[in-house]
Amino acid sequence: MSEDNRSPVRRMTVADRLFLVSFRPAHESHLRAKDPGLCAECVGRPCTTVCPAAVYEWLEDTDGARLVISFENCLECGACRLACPERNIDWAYPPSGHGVTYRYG
Amino acid sequence: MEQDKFDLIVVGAGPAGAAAAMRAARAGLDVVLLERGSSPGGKNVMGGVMYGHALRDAIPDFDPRTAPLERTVAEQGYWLLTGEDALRVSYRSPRHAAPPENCFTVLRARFDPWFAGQAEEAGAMMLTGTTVTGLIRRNEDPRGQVIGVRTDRPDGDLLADAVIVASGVHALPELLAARPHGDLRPDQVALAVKEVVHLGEEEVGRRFALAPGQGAAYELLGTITRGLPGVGFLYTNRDTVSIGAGVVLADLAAAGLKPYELLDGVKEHPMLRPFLDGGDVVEYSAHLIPEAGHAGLPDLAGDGLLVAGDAAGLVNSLRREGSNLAITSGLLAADAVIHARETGDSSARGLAGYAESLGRSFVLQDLRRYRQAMPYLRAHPEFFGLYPELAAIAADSVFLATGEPRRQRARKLIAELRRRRSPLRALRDLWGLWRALNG
Ligand SMILES: Cc1cc2nc3c(=O)[nH]c(=O)nc-3n(C[C@H](O)[C@H](O)[C@H](O)COP(=O)(O)OP(=O)(O)OC[C@H]3O[C@@H](n4cnc5c(N)ncnc54)[C@H](O)[C@@H]3O)c2cc1C
Ligand code: SF4
Ligand code: SF4
Repeated sequence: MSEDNRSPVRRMTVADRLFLVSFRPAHESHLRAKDPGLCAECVGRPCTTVCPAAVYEWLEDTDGARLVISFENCLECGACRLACPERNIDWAYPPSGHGVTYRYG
Repeated sequence: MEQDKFDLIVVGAGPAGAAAAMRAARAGLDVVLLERGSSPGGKNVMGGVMYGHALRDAIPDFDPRTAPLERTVAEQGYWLLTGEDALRVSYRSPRHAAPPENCFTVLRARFDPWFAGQAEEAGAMMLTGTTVTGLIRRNEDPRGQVIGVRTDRPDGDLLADAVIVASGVHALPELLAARPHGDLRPDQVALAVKEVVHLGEEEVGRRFALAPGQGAAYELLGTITRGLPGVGFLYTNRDTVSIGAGVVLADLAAAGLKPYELLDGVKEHPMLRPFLDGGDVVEYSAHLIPEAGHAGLPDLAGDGLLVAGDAAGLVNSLRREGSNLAITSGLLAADAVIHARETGDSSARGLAGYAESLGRSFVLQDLRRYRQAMPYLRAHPEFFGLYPELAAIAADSVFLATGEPRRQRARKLIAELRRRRSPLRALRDLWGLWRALNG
């Protein structure tokens, strides 16, 4: 408590981290799974682990099983497009003026 | 129509594109530099160590005092991190920080606007907030000469005699001349995540024992990447530090490891905590790094088209050099376009000087020299697990005093090392590594 400026490294969640990044989301997603059937069958679903912004989440609930894509958190790194074993991600840059803007980089 | 045609379109205002645009504009060419970010650097991430030689080549009267550089690097080193331990090798030299400076740390959101500004000052026109979506080819023939680009602006087509694609590592297939080996593969890139941690200018100086304005850059090796082929880094900025780690994307995916968990492990290593404790994380970022090296080079030129920097995979990941390869390739690409304008031939043949001069420069010479290194390291994960651990055991035997005779302990050490790896295999691995690192 007293040594506030020496408080130890705190473990941060992805949400904590994304909170530090400035985004201007577009209205429409720039990311899309081309064939949802492939996602249903996909082993390991690497998009849900490699993404540094946890954009992809596999959800199974009363609405069914599906890949949820929180595109507004995308850091535009491209990892998901290359890591998807089926090349099932339709990937584009967000429209100009949108997406991430780093202040430090 | 004619007045809308440029001599040169450059796609991407990173180090490669800005360097190309400034050199071509200085030679009197009518250049437009296109950047998808609202300002240059807004989409970009690097460690980042920026090299003096490249800046001096790009800007003849370069004066570091006028540039948004964080610190002049006086010390560089490798930290071999295992469990809780650290074996550190570093080199500090005041010569490196004195003119002509060897390298600087930078933050790209600050550096890129200035560097691209040099292209504007030289006469290039910069259009930010402009995403290039494809190439325009003569007669719409998919193999025809490139005569311009499509952008997502209204009436966004732009025409030119030549196009330099400098759009970075994640160059979409529709922007490249051709990749003889097809689209990028996940084993040809590393995914890096990074944080910028604010400490204050004095505190950075104190924690790293640095003179004002001077900086340090450490590569973090060992088990810190959890046995996956990759490296971490810790660099000092003016009042912040940059910490991050990158591993080959295919390996990250296969391990099911999340990149931010990798970063947590790095930040929590006992060697690193004292440098970070109490600091405020002010930004988190992620970016790919090309890792394919010489084996993954795309075609560098097509009719009316040149590819420079990360878009061509020009990164020497072993030496964490990318920005300087980008700048040098951008300058050489511009030279080829300037030459093509004189000869009136911007076909692939007319632009062939680019590949030739790049081949003579350190860019392709170094990529060729280290072409075995990454494949070797990826095939030998022991270098990210077993060997760092053995190095720590060896260091223990040097630095621990136990009251036991040294000769007896040396025997025990050798027995322990033999148990973990047969001497023959170890010799073979080290010989292999040496050869891979020495071409
Ligand atoms: C974490 C990390 C650490 C690194 N550390 C170092 C280091 O310490 N030292 C070093 O030398 N190198 C380092 N590198 C490598 C270095 O960052 C790159 O090699 C260098 O930035 C390449 O420059 P470039 O101009 O080719 O590409 P980039 O810097 O990626 O620039 C490409 C530009 O093109 C723009 N663009 C992309 N697509 C389009 C489009 N369709 N339309 C319009 N504009 C577009 C982008 O917004 C960007 O501004 C590091 C990389 C990473 C990721
Ligand atoms: S990796 Fe590809 S196929 Fe698998 S779940 Fe993700 S998008 Fe679908
Ligand atoms: S581009 Fe990067 S940040 Fe965006 S969704 Fe894909 S992996 Fe995640």
